[in-house]
Amino acid sequence: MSVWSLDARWRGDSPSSLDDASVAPAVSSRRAFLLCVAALAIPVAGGVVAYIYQLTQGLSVTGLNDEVFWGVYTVDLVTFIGFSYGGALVSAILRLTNASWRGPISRIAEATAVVTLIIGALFPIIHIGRPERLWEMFVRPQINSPQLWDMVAIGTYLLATLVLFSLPLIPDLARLREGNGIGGWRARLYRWGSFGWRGTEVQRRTLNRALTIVAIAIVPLAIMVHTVLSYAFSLTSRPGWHSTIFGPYFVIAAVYSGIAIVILASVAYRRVYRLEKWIDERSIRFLAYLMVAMGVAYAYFTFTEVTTAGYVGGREEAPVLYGLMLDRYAPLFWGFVVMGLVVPVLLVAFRKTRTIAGITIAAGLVVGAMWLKRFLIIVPTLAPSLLGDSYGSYTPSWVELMVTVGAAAAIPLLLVLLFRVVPVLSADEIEELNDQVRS
Amino acid sequence: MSGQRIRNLLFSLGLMVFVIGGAAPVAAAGPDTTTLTLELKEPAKPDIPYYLMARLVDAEGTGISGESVSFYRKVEILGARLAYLGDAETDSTGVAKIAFNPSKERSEILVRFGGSDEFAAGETAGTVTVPPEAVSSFGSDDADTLEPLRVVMPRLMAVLVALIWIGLIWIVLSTTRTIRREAEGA
Amino acid sequence: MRISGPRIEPGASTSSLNEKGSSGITRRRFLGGALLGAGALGVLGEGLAGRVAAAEDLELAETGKIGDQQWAMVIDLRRCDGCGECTTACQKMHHLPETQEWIKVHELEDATGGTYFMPIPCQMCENAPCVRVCPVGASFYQEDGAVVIDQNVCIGCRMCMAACPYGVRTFNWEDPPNIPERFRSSTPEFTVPQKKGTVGKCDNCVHALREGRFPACVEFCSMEAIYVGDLVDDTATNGHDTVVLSDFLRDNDAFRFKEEMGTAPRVYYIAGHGQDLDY
Repeated sequence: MSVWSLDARWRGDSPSSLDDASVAPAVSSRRAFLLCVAALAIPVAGGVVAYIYQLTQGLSVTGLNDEVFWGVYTVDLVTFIGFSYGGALVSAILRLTNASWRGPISRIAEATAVVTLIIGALFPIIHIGRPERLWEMFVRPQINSPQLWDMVAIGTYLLATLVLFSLPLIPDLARLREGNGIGGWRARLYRWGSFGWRGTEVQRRTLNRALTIVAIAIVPLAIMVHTVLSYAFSLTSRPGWHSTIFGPYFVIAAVYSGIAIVILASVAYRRVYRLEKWIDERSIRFLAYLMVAMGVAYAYFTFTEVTTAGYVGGREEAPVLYGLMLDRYAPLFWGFVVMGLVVPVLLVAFRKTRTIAGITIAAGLVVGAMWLKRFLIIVPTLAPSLLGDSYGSYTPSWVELMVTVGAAAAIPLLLVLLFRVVPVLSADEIEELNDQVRS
Repeated sequence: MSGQRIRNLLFSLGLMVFVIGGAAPVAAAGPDTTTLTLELKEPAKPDIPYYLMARLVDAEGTGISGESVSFYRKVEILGARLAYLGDAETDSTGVAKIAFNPSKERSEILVRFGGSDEFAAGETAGTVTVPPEAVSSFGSDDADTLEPLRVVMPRLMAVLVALIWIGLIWIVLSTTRTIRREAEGA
Repeated sequence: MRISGPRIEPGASTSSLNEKGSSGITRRRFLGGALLGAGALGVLGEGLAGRVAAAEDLELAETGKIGDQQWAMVIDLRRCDGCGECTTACQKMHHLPETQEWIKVHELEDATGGTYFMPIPCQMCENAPCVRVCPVGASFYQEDGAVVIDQNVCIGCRMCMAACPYGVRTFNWEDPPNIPERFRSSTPEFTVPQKKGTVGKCDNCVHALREGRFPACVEFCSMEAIYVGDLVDDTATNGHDTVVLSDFLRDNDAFRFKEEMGTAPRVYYIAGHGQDLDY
């Protein structure tokens, strides 16, 4: 972010009009843009190099073993796809309920959903032992496999988020047809992507109807995707995984962390491009309320999950729960509870800390803590042997960590690249909502 | 070397060559000659097992009582083998019997009398045949009762996913077409 | 994309047994199996005569004929002394690294504080969770009941390892060491050499069984604790004793491991703790 403060063009002053604001990242200084891309590309390249190393050496470069055979990659898979869920759901639900404060953040939410999903969708490939055989899944799919349905769900959800992202772009791209200081291939893209939008009655009606349908569809779809993702765990007989709560548990976790990512992205763009006037504090605050609601729900789900397993305390469940809450993973678990559930909720609860800074810290904590929580879902279940006579251990290797850091850096990188092309604010929607409020 | 010793040697080597067709043990000099015959007693009514009955008689044809007789079934599992079915003691008429659970329609049974001080050892082999409905094969009968669901559910899901794909693509195509039509009209 | 290491793909590597129905799983046929005469099997002499030289000298098996057997296994824990000969023999037969134990001997505690040994090979479930979760159908049922892996297809997602309630599956993180030249291709019946990046497990020595030879663990168990059985003919043998399978199991109160899972394993255990037995 410090790179951006070097950019004299925007230092101190806010864009004067909505249209200027919506393309602020696209027209900001080229040097700053390239610097930023370069800075983000370094960790991403590191991740790519680490993955290529893994391709040449095989999965032995990871910390995985025959006991803990799923690790950080699976954690990343769930986490990144979870991020995308929040974005899409926020956008869809707010659209359906016609929440007036959604305007400024809907584009960022939709873009985040697409970007994080693309990154998350790479992890099923990264984590398998024979990525060059992925085509077997298309050639000889075994229709009862949760792993196969994971891929189907991710693919379907990617299509849906792309639709939810691109349809609202049409009117905004139309506004840029006239130029607004952007020429070249981007202008050509705007002309093509606006499909001759003039804002006529019929066009508006058609678009709104389509968006309503997609928004309605994406809510159950997102629930399904995340439930199916949890199937990879809950459809096994492993203690700690084989649980009906896993579907909703994953869904809530996804929304929780997804909203946090949307908050982080919104705050970043708001701050860097001086969009305070357009992305108002109220929108961020409402997002934070939503996040807190999800956080409390998640805390309750966690409580329920460990209670149903631990109250009976079967021979298989007990060692997993013991390791998680009292023994080996207890510091991580209670660390998650404090940093991922208690502190974020408190930060938003008190008026004194309910500032943009406080909310940003809360969102940052949630993002990190939810990654940790997925780790705590996966590893402690695998570590104790099924016979109870041994205990496996797992330490992520540098390859896994570099790939993870690279993937994490790819989120802002892709967002920066994306908003260099498409407007960061859905100007058309904001105007429409303002008209509604006024009338 | 007597015939019995040769036979015992063969047994102890464990070499089982089933060439003895129906009956007729080889007579030996020392103890009295014996004859073993085998028959299958069919159940008089359902729920009563089949019985394999071996009759051990001496040279005069009188039943020998109180002697132990072993029953085997000839099986092919990684080679020809004798599956031990059980021992039974002959009754006053010289009959030893064990319950028999046929695993196929035709079973080759071997009955062996190990011999004693008084009586010579002997064995006999025979084939017993049971009707197909009497065959009970061992195996788990826990068929997967949920199999129909495993077939239907994912396919239903696949249809649903296909509909979602078609629907989403259709929405995009129809929306952009309508928007474009309006533009052209202008 | 291509990862390093040998990647030999001979045309015939995936046998015709691997032809799949629409469900992606070869349907197992019980009793209705191919009507090949049992006599097609090589006849082994009783007892020691049938023991082949050493496991590591076993040539790569041309897949033998499928008879009308349905293979099962009985492990008599009363006899098991935990020596681990089964594990070693299996590792030699399949050229596994020492870290991979396809039949692992666990030392478990019983309710009275005593311990007993429990060798756990693949349980050859008739309702196998691993087969169900495999996204590409690389795990499947053989006609004679064994659950096997086609390592030429396995994508290495390890879902099956998560699904297996018995923890018998291992992943090939590395290429197996010191594979003799003659082992070129891995077939589902004889997965030697293990392919890096795929999942491996006990293959029930289908290759040996079809040639009328014993699985390595059965053959080299000096306690004669492991029986190989045929559900169709209702018999089982450890190479020394041959028993009527159903009677043997009933008379000795046999159990199946994690029966409550509904996996219907074909491996039966007879409870015990290595006591002296003379029967």
